[in-house]
Amino acid sequence: MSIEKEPFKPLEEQNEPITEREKEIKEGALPSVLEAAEIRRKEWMEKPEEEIRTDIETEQEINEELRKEEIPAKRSQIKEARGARQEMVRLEAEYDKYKFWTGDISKHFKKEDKIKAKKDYEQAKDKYNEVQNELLGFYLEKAQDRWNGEEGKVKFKEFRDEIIFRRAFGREQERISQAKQETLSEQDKGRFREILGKIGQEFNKIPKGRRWVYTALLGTGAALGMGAIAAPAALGYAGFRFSRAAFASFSALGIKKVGDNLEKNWLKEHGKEKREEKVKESLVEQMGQINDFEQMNKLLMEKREERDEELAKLAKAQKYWQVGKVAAMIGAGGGIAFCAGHFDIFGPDDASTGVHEQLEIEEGRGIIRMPMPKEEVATGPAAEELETGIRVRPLKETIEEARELEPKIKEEAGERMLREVKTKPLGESLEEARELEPKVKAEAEERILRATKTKPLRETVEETRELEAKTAAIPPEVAKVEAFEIAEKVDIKRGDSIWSVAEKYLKGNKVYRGLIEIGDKNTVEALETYNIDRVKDIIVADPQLYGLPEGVDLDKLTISQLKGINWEKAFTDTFPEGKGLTDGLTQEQIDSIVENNKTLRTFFQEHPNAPRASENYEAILKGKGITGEVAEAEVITPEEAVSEKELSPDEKRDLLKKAGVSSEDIGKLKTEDIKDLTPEQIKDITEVQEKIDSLKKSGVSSEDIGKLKTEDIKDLTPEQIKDIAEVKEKVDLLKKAGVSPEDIGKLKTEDIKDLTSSQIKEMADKAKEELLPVAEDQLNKARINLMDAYGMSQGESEAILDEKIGNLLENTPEKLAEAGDRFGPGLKLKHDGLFSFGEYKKYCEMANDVRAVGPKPEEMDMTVGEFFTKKLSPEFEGAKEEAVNIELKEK
Amino acid sequence: MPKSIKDNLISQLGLDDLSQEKKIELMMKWGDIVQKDIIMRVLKELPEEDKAELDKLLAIQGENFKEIYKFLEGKMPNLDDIVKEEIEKFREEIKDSAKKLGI
Repeated sequence: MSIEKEPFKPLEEQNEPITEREKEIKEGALPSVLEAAEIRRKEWMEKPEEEIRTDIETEQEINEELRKEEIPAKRSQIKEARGARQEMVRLEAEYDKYKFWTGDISKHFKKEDKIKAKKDYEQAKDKYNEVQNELLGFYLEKAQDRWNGEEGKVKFKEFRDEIIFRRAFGREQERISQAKQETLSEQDKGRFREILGKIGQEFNKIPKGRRWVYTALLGTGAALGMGAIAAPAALGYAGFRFSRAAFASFSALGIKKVGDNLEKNWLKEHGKEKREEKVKESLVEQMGQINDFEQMNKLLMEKREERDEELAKLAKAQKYWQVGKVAAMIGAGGGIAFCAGHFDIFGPDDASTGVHEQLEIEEGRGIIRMPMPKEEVATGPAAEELETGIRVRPLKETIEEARELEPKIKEEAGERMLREVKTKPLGESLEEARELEPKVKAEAEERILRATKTKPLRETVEETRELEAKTAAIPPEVAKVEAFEIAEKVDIKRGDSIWSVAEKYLKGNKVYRGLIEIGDKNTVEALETYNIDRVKDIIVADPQLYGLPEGVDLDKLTISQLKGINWEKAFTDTFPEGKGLTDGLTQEQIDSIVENNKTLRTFFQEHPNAPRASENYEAILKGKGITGEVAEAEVITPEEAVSEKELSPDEKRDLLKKAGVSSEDIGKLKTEDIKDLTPEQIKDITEVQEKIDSLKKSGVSSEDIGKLKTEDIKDLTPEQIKDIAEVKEKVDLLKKAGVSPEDIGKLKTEDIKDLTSSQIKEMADKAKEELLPVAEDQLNKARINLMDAYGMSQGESEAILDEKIGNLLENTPEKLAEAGDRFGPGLKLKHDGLFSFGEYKKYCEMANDVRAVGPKPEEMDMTVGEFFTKKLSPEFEGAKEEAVNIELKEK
Repeated sequence: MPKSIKDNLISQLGLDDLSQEKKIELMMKWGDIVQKDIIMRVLKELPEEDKAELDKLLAIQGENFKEIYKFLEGKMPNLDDIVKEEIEKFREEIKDSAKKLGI
């Protein structure tokens, strides 16, 4: 196009009808929906002025309470406000021509015209603000007249906030946006809608996790390529959980509450509390550096369980621990509120706010910056609050605290469980069953039971710094290792093992060779052993992942199997970018490794026929190595071990492992803690752990077990464990049947134990009767949730509630692009089918979710409200299903 | 371009007392509006001859927003700046409006 051929047309001319449809509309052949709108508009205009409610109220934007307190505005005021808005937007568009258009077209503009356009726009803007001010003043003045006195002040404040919220910053901004869209040419309007639709398609297929990431990253205000343009759309499409999280991060609103809810929802959704705890522990404990947010991003798209594992690994390798924590929260789901304030979409530039750390990642042409305010790290009481449940502390500290709290804990532990289930607790039933009250040492057991307790962020920071200080002994060059470059090929021969090949690859690495040159003998030896072990461990943990066949004997690999190992992946996974060869290696560990190597060398010199298998290495270090000259190795049992007076820390670790204490928990024990453990304590731990395992096998949750006193667990007999399981099972059954915790609480333990199926059914029926009226409330909740989940307005939500599920699915395509003629008329909405494309998109999103849960044929006749009610009231459904099950069982 | 928790717009507009749901509703609206502003700005700045090419891409059935984005990026080297500017502009406008309304 050239200017000469097609000069610029004024906007009015551009808006002249071009297509046949546009002409028809202009000539009065309006489609029915527009006709309906026009009729409504005329009716509204013809009403006496006094009867006209505010446009806010007519649009159902005010909440129920305030709706009762109508403050009518005059029609002339509303008209004036609309006119001022439209004029401001029109003149802004005129002024924009001078601002944005460049090249040949700009030559046609005179400087004085530009100045005039700006002046006109500024005047129109002032006029608009003036009118808005008058209108707002009118509302507030009337409200003040209506609500006076002390009580009235509160009411007035509510109204003020509401009207500001709704009018000035909510609906009014939408109106301005709508008016701006009207200034586009018809062609651009079409393009605008198309682009929005394309964005919708794009984001519909993106998992919600990634949408959240885009949204959160947009909050940095930094360019994020496509994500930045499309991210706000994610707000509309994202599900409840992630959108809430994103909002919390954007605006710091009620962050703790949001965080708590997310935590609760996450746990409720996945039911893997223990696993979650472990993931969090691992992440937070290891969080040192994050340098690969894209990888985090990618992982969020993958299957949840794998993702969590991978996130745990990745977080260990990241550069900035704060960012690592943020990413970990995304992975762990619960602590998203930690992000609050770091991603403030609408915050201004402010270099003075004290950015502590900042991450820059190239993405496309943009830079993502993730600032961390100093106050978050230094003090941050709010952050501490949010961190509850996230950070693991060393067991030594836990033990010290446990000692202080012991008397109180002993008194309260059983009570907590009692309160939780509102019935006679397991702890109390144990009290009854037990006649003796032996005093046992609780310290060791507490280590296990309280191992997952947490500490605040500030302590985490301090510990991180302590760790940094410890590792500072390593030459600084060591810590700068950024990536591991694997040698292209190494020679693999007969007699090689995973260990020996890993050693060859390690020695072929230039960074490692550099370390050898600068390190002392012991450090080099430790580095070698430590890092080869890390590579070996990662392969052994998941041999198939690295190319080995299932069930292969890792101590007897063939040359081809060794060659078939994906060494590059093994080394990359062990040493991801940002994680050095000396990561986590302390002086204490160096000494220990050197000492162990010495022991092994001596042993193999003395016993050349000793098997060189991983199990034997461990046995040798424990002083129980197989020499190859003796038929079998001694296997130390906890009972035998505790009878010995002096055991090494490693032997004690081994005993704890045999007792069922996880390697993770053992790893948290410091050597001095291990040394302090007496044989009696180890024996006690073993005993308690066995009983905990029995309780778990009986179906008692870890949470409930955690509420029992240690001595209670220790003294449990097998019969008591069986009884506990039986009572627990029946309590669960009653809960599922819908019997309220209060009602269950009224029953005695022995009563619960003796309950028959028919008695449970009777209780379930009664509970069901009580639950039925609740369905009405659930319907209301469903409406509210539709608003939250799909970004619907109240009106949009109400319009779709009565639509049949079958009709909804029939008239909403899975992909918006396939909407075609189905857009609109197919849905029987309360507002005569007049709805926007945006609204239709929300219904499509909702329909896709309905499809995802797979409605049954009989559910097709349910209304949306009924369907969501059902899905949102699992207890209600659970009660019905349980009752049916019991009935069937009885028959 | 660091942002700070101290400067969140909700607080600046004195709306801290609003319920969480309302704040969320507000954030949703703002996000939606900013997105539309960005698209409108792109349409205003994109030369007519490029729009013809854009129309072809938009006419393709199915999901091709990435392709559209690449196209826009190629035609508008300042696309990232536009995004930033529109976010900033919206923020400033709403603050300015609040100020003039005496909020």
